[in-house]
Amino acid sequence: MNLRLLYPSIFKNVAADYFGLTGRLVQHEESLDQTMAWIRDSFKATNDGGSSAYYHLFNGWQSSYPETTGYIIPTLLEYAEYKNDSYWNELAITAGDWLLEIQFENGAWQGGQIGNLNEPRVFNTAMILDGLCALFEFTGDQKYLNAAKRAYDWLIEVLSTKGLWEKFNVSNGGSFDLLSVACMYRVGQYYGEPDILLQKIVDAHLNFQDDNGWWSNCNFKASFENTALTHHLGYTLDGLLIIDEIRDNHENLRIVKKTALKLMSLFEVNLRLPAFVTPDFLPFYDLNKQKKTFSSCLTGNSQIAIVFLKLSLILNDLRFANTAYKLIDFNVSVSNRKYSVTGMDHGLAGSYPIYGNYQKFQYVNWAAKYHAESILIAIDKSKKRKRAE
Amino acid sequence: MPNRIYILTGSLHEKKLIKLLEYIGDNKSKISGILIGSKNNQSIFKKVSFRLTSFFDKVFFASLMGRLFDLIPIKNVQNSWGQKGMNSWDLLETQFNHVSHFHGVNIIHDFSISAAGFRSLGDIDDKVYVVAFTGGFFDDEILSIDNLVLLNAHMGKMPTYRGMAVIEWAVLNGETPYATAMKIAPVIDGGDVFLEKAIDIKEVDSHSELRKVGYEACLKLMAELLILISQNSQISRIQEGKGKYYYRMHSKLLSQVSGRFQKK
Repeated sequence: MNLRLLYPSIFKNVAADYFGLTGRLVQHEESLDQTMAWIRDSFKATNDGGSSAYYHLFNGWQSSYPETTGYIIPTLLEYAEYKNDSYWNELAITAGDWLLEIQFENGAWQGGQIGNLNEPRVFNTAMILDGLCALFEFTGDQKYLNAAKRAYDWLIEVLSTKGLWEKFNVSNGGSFDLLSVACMYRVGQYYGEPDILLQKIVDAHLNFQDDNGWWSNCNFKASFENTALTHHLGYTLDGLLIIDEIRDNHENLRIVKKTALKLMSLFEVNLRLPAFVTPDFLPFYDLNKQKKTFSSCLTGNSQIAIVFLKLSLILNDLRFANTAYKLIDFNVSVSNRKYSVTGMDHGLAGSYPIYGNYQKFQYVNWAAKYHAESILIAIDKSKKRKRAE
Repeated sequence: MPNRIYILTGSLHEKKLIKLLEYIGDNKSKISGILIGSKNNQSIFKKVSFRLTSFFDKVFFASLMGRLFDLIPIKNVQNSWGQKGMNSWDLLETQFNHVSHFHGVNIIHDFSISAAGFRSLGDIDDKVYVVAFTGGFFDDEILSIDNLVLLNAHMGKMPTYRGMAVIEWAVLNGETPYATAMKIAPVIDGGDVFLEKAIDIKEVDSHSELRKVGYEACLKLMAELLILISQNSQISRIQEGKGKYYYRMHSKLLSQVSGRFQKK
């Protein structure tokens, strides 16, 4: 046993999760403020302009993570507008400038957090594009868009003839790269890039969906075989919706709805979303097969809530909003815990319980980002649309 | 083929059972019996799992942690997501005896909720109808008994309002809610429909009143169906079209439903 489990705050955290205890359900707006305070602390922890990837229960704050710092930027800008507080705009600009400093010559960004996996990676690079576009739109400064275009060109360069990113990528690519394409559309709309190439990439990735609405290649390679991680399902489905937003059509709606209805049923029957989903949309019991217990991926919860909120608006079907509110409630309550340790205080863990299999014992900045974004959308304070005005 | 009609308890609160019998009126004599399901056989109903590992887990440690750190069970959050369906195994046997005596309907004690139990309700030539109001989840062996028809009443039009809290959903969607009497099938709320009728909510002024009116409409419709069955004149239709499922309604949406009544 790791003796650090006996530290009061860690013991409290692990024991509470084990016994099914959680924080009180507060207003979503209050939870948003708590989460943004955690994000602010994640920037302070590194002091280099980036946001710390995560706080590990035993090892503390980690170094900055370029990928997630990139996609936190739009959330910072939206929160600044919502609170009418320029502090968050400044934080976003600092983060953007830091990303420009660490961009590789070839236009890509590194895969892991600073100090780890210092080689170019597709998915991580693509995720930064959204942040740079948001900064360009906010500041009007061309340097952000120029950097995004260099990354865009590199992404085209490393694309395989099949229209997939099998090299320089997370798990050799997968359905989650639909969000990578969405981020490319985001840049492409400023350059009039040929839609035909991006459509080819989308088509190649749509082959990952089966007739049942499930997605293969939607998890980390080292993770449970033949399961989809809700975090990656969130990337996949939101990617398709963003592509539709930018193209101003609903071509992907049917595809997204097919999966979303299955996820809705999965959540409502279990009153929780399992982190790992089997091809027949049942929970994968990652904690204990015999006792049929599973963990939830808090990032996945928020991402699926975002997808549901968007679907509810597009389809005028409040069933999706209904489930989205419950998913947000879940994360609001799980994150509403006070600790004297900054990295734990009101943070969002990789898994619930925290000893679940996704990002075990970690409070991750991407869970905080998506939780904040899901609330901004739910309270109608997000721009939602990624289409250039 | 003679029809035999039973009412399975555990799916009706006492007041609702009395109402159903009142609505059936003089035709009560056609009811073959009220079945009191044996508690030991409750497992035939699939229930949402509730993890209770030990006394130490649940009561002592959890409450200590909760008090010390202002934590609550995650179940409380889940329970805040709207009302659950009816589930009343809490009706005392003495109350049943009273109802039985007052209405002159037989009671069958310790009824085993199993395929063998249902088979015992009639001869092979009998058509056996059992009111199992909540719909429940019966296993395939029970549902495949040829001469057995399990009946459910539901507050939604089929097939577009399957699932939970459908009367609230209909109001939220600006549509007329319906009561439907139908057969219980392996597909949840997917069985053949016997009767359906619009629920009049013109006089409804609150959410609790809406539920009450909905239940009454369902009980009346079920009574109507039982009378038709006793006269051998019931007909059913297969549900056509794609089913649409609803789930428990979040308080944010429920407040919109209540708001509609306040506007009136």
